[in-house]
Amino acid sequence: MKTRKYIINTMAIAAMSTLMMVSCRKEAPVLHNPNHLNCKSYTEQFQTIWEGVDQSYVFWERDTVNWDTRYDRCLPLFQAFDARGTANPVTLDEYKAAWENVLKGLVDHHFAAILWEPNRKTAIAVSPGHKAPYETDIAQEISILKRMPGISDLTENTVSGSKAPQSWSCLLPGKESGEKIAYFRFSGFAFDESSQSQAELAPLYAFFDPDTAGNVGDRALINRDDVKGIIIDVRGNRGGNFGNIAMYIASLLQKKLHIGYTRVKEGVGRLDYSAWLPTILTPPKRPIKQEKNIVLLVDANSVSCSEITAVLIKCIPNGKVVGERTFGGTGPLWPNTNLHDIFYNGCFGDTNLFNFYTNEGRTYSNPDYAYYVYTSTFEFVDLNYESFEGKGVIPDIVVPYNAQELKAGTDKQLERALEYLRNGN
Amino acid sequence: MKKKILFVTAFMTLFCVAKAQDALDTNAAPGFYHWNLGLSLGGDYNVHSANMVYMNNMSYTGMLGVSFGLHTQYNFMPWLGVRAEVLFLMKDYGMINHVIINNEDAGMLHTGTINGYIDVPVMAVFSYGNRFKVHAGVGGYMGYWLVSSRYGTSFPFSGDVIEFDEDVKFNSTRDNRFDGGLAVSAGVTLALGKAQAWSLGLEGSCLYGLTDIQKKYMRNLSPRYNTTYSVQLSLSHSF
Repeated sequence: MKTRKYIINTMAIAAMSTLMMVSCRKEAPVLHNPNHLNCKSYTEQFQTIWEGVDQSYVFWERDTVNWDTRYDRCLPLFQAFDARGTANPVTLDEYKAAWENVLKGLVDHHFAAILWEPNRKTAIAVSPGHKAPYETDIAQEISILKRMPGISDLTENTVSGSKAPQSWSCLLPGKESGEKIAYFRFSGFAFDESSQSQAELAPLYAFFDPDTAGNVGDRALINRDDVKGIIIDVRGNRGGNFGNIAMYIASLLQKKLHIGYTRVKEGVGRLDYSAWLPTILTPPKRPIKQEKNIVLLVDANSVSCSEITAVLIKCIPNGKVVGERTFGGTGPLWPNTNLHDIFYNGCFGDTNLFNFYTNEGRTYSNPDYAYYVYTSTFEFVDLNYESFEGKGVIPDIVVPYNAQELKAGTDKQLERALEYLRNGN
Repeated sequence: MKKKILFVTAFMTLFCVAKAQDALDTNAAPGFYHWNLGLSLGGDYNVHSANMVYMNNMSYTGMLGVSFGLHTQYNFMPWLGVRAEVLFLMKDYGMINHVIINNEDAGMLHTGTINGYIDVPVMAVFSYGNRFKVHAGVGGYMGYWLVSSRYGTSFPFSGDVIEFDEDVKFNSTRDNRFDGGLAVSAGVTLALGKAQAWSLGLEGSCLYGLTDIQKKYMRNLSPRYNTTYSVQLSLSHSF
């Protein structure tokens, strides 16, 4: 009887203690989807974007910014803005400086926060990434190209409404008499057969002669027997649609090529990541007839898809990258914020504000402190898991940009590319 | 929380020791042994508790695993003992991402995460019966997260959904490899032979994690916990 009493007493105490301990788990913080919020003040706008970047930014494992400290340091700036009221309104310079303080040092070189200031009915953009040391003078480089001895079959595109051509193809002399080098240049990866006219796509068609499935045609410059080398020029190319790489640049491959990996942030924590997934390019069913040496020309304004193309060219044995270190914005992204809620990372906010800011002639109005954050959806690394974000891709053959020589009519980077293709070194 | 845990643990220990001392003069029952040593083997089901806040399309799911261990028990008296176990178990979980694009169902992505842990539960065990015993235990456990891997489907930015299968490298900033929490169990044993020195057992247990599997590395950290239910068969020898 005594034993039974002991058992019952002891077990009752143990059960009570256990129940007490069960409540020791911590509660989750209250968090909101940064994609769907209306902000009524400078402070709310700051807190929303801070929290959105906290959860939707893909580079936290690589970034050196202490984001928590940044919150503590910057919150008082925006609280002070709200406290000033209408008598002493915040100037756009102050507003921009405050946001530069918030975002300074983030490694994502696609990153831009577009911020709507409802009191002044205007938007500003803040990009924390470094700036390229020069603007690529595409017009001058094309002018030099056109004066090259022996140039033939030059085709320029004529995009309606555009101030200048955006892509070019031609043939340049090879090493021996009768041999040719095919040249193709485009200022952005924005080819779209469904919406662009044949005239707009003329250089692309001359170079690749693709059918609707992306197969290389017989009339393509790159398929000519007398063409012994290929130059693809992405200097000043700010990137665009990766589908262009998959469809056109992959036409230069004979077999599947694994060029690197991507991952997304997948979950509430800053360091919750998906697996690294391989980035594999597949040649079309009817690719280029024979392998040829390929040179990719790059400079400090080659961004995003241009840089991924540089990684691709480095992966193929007959490829060389020539020019200057690229910009360092290699994280692919989906600008449409409808896609934010697949993995809950990447661009978030009001896409209309983005369209307003990036397209002339559009109008926008919002009584709230609206925002749009443009940031990489994916992190890209090469086969050695090396990231180029904020660093850029270093060419195999480095030829520095020289503004004076260019102005005087000499394009040293193009000349070095031709020299490599003609002499093999 | 730490104070609460310390207080409850100290209280339970003092209470059990006092009660044990109080009853030490109880006559030992037939077949009573002080020490017991055994092996156990079974399966487990781990539930991963994580608040996904607004991420409505994502959810964690429980997964089955295996467990095996080596246990020893010291019996103060026929009805009260203390048991310690070295237990290898899998605390696996899945994550489902129900992809919806522009209000259209685009299918499911899933990830299965396989985690190997070594845990040491220490429990006060209360028993009732002679040859056939019913027992229940309560206590705590500590452990270590040994290995992790994951497999599943996802899509890269360059194309269609693909499968993956990879080892997961621990991240010293994020991963809390120390594991601890509450342990409770209930089961039956059947003593074999005339001397009742060997016994077979069937036991169900629950390891309720009180340590977040993540370190406190960010301000807005949403905690994640494991709760592991296991069923084990055991063979023990008493002496």
